Amino acid sequence: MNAWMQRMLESKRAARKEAAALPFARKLEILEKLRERSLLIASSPLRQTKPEHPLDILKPADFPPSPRSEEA
Amino acid sequence: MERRRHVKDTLEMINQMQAAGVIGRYAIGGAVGATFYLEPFATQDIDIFVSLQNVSGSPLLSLTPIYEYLTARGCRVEREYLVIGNWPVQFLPPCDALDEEALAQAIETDVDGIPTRVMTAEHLVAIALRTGRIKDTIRVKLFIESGVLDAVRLDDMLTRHGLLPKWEKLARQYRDENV
Repeated sequence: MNAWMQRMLESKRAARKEAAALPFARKLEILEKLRERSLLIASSPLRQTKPEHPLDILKPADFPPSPRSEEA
Repeated sequence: MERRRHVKDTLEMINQMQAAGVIGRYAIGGAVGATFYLEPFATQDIDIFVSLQNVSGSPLLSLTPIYEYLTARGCRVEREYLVIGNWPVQFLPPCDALDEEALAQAIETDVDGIPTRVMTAEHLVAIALRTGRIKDTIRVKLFIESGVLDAVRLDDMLTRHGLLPKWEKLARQYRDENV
C-alpha cells in the first residue's frame, strides 16, 4: 500500500471514530438522514428492476465480450 | 402539513406501551443498537427485543397485544413491521438464552431525555454472529475495529452460547483482510 492510500485510510478511520464518539441522539439524527437518502435512492427507476437471483447481475450477456474472449 | 417524526417519537410510543403493561422489558438491538457504540450507518428498521407474557394457559407468545395497542393509536402494519412515527419497527420476542440474557443485561440510556435501553456491544456481536448474514459479518468487523468490546466478557458469552467457532472463523477472516 502506498503512502497516499495509507493516509487516506487513516483519515477515514479518524472520521469514523469521531462519528462514533457523537452522542446517541445526534447519531440517531444522522441515521434518520441516511435512511431518507437510501429510500430516495431506492425509489429511483434505475433501482426498480431486480434480477431473479442476486448473482444474475453477473450474466455475461450484459457485458460486451472482453478482448480475450474475442481472441479465443 | 404533517409534523416530521423522529426516532424519539418511536421510542416514546414504545415507552408508553411498556408503561401500559402491554410489553415487559425491551432493548434496542440490530443496526440502531450498534449505532450506540459505532458510527451511524444506514438501516431501514428498528429491532426491538421485547419480553412478552405467555398467552394464558399456553406456552406460546403472542404479539397481538402489541399490534392492537399500536394500531389503535394510528400505527400501521407493513409486512412484518409496525410503522411507529416514520420508522418500521420489528418486535422480536427472545428466541433463545442469548436473547434472554441480552434483554436482561441491556444498558439504560436516553435520547434527549427519553429513557430507553440498548443491548451491550458484546451481546450485539454475539447475536450478529448467530444470525450470520453478510451485513451482520460487516457489523462484527466494525465492532472489532472500534475497540469497544470487552474481550473477557465477549469470550465468556461466546463460550456459553456455543458461538466460539463462528467467532474464530470471522476473526481469521478479519486478520487476513488486515495484514
